[in-house]
Amino acid sequence: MNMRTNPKIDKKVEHTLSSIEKIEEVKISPFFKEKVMHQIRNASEAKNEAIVSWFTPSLQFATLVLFIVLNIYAYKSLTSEDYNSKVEEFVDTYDFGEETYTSIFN
Amino acid sequence: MTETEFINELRQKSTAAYSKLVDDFQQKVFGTCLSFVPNVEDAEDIAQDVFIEVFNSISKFKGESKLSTWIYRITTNKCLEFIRKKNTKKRFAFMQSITGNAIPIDKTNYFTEINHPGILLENKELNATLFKAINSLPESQSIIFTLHKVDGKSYQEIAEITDRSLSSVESVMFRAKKNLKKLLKDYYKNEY
Repeated sequence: MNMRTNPKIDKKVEHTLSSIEKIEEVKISPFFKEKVMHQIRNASEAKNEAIVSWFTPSLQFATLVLFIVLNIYAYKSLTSEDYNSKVEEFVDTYDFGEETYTSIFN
Repeated sequence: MTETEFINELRQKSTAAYSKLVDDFQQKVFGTCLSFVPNVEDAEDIAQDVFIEVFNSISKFKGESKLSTWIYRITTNKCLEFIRKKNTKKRFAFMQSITGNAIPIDKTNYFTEINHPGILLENKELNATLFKAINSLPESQSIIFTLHKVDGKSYQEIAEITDRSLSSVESVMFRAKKNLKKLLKDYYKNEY
């Protein structure tokens, strides 16, 4: 057996292993929380910016113009005579006019 | 507030919830970091990374374990990641020094540059040798030994953090102690 026991070495090994129990607790820096919260706030702001960053002012303006154009088109369609005549024709076809409603109690 | 309610607050990125989280866990997370990495500045940087990781990944937390277990798991992984980076080139230095080829111990190794206020001056060299020996163990053994012997966590806590059974933790711990003694014996055999 080539592993001869050397009491001196054994003692040193035990001493090294037991040195672990003498490690004392180290208190964290009082500025730690501040640093972490600063990073968290930065990360939070970066995420919010990422959400709104694609909706650029030019895109916002284009959306507004499109909204107005669509509304004007819809209003013109509703007020056009063609639309009104089509509605009247529809009412006549299906007898939805007021004069067609008669009550059986009259 | 229950843990589920608190986790929901964290998911909604409430600053008040993160403030409470840091209050509750900063000392424990830092302590674990310092157990793996015996350098106070590096341990503090890793601890900061842990809280940022919690902030970024809280939506992925399924609640299958306790929040504390999940945080310690992140902490352990961050420390291992850090050690791996530091030791890429020097990882076999200690092993080389114990092969009996009279290769001197590598004094530039990360674990010889201890900056740990909790380590007494007279134990600095012993602890440096010990930290190097611990980091020469297979990773599973070094994790379990560090969490139990250096950080003072119970076998039950370690079982939850490492997702192992209690008997598996005990068995790995037994092998870690045995291997550590052998590593140190071989190392000191070269010294005498």
